[in-house]
Amino acid sequence: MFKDDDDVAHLLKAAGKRSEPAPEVSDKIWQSTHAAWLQAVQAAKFKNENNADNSAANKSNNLSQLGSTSITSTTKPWGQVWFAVAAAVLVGFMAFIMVPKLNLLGDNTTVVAQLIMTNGAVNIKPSLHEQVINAGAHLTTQNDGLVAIQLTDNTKITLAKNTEIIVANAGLIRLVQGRIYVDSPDANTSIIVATPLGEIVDIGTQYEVNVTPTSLGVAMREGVTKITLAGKTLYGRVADGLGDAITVDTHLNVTKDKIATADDYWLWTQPAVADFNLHNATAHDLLHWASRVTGKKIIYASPQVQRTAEQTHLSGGYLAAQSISQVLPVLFKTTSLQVVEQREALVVSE
Amino acid sequence: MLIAVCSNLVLKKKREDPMHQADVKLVQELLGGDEAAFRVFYNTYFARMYRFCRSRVSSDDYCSDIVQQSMTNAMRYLHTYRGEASLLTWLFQIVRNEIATWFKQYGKNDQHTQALDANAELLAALESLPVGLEGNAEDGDDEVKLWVQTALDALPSSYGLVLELKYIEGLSVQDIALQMGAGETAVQSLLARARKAFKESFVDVQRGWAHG
Repeated sequence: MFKDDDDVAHLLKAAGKRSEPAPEVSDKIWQSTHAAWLQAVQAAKFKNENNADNSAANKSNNLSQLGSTSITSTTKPWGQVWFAVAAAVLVGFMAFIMVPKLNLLGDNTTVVAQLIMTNGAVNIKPSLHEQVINAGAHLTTQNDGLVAIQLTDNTKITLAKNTEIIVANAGLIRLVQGRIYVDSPDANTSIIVATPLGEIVDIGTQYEVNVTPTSLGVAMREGVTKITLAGKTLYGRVADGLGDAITVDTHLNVTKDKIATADDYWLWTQPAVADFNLHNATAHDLLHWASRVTGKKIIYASPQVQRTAEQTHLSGGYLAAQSISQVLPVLFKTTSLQVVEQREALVVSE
Repeated sequence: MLIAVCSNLVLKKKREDPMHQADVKLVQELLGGDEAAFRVFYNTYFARMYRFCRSRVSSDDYCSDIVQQSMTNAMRYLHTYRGEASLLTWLFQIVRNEIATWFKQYGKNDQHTQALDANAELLAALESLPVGLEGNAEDGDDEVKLWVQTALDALPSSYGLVLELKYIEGLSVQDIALQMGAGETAVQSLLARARKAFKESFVDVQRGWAHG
């Protein structure tokens, strides 16, 4: 049937890329599947606890049987029967109470994120209880607003001013308008940013998505993103300190530019960065954090310098992202290391 | 007696050493409440299940309902998965059952609900298609596309991805290596395995259609 590998190539090319279900379908089914999954997890937990209880009970029975006669071990006392009936009634009652609650988990009571910072005028619907954001929450920033949230997989989303998003679930953000910055530190997890013109999926990265009525913009600062448009897939990457800046217009015309990872353009995200706790952190930890915040790579003068940084422990309070440039050189004067901040790098020497 | 003991041993060994260990591990992580595992599960299987359904049911709306119910059922019976078949096969079987249930319930009274593989005329037409291997797929027949997609979906994720990157998106081996974070030799080798697996998978899909 297949004469050679060219047949495979022709067939695949003719068939085209596998079609993806519509985002709203994916979103809807995610919600219901997530709810069903949470119920399955609860059920598994309940079963495990029951098994553990039964196993403990059996162990206890076995121990008691060691000291009893064969008659007492084979005859079920009435007390046990009544206990079993009572337990069954209790389990039924608990199930009655619990199941309707569990059914709600997938709707707007599924915790998907936590609010970590707000500044200026910010509107969050429904209103928050203990900084917890549930699936379906609607976040809007006004002209002077800035807000940052952290999803359950530690991905941080920062909203610039005049931005509107819907946190559909723990893995899907709908960007209605405005600009968000995504900082996804874990390469093993990824989230989807859905926009009117396409979807962006990250692979352990930092990037910005900007939606206007006439365009979609994706600016890369670290890692790789996959951008899926109608019938077209693009990849955003970073190389040699330069990230892709991709713009897509409403006719799906794509233009590509570059932006330095250490460009001042990214400064708008800094107020949303959590302060760094110096207590018990190593110099290496601090440099790593500073590198992610500033987009500057770390250059160690030698492997020995890197080892020293890893073994140098710091102490003190918190360091704000905005004061990195001022504080870093001073702070390192208390160690055997020296840090020089260059345009695109933090150079560390002894 | 001896046979019973032997078969018990075989069963026990099969349970202890399932063929699809990665799938079993994923299911265990899911049942343990691992949110990241749930995301991996959904990202890996949802679209495949949807396309599998769409290759048999001609309406997106109905497919959406069927896959939603299938996913819910999959979660409900997740604890019964033992790794005897791959997770994908197990999930496809759930979709198949759900499609059958759907047709029993609604199909007979709804002219818009039409199972492609229940339509003898269409099936005959499909079987008569030259499949494109003799050079007739340039018009992008939806049916051939469905076969290709189904065959790709049946492959391990990395195989499907590397074939798409190479032959559909037209990336060079060097670019694919960069994209996948692997060496060029590894990508060449992956491509060779993926092509071989695709050929087998495609033939299986065709055979599946031919036998309804």
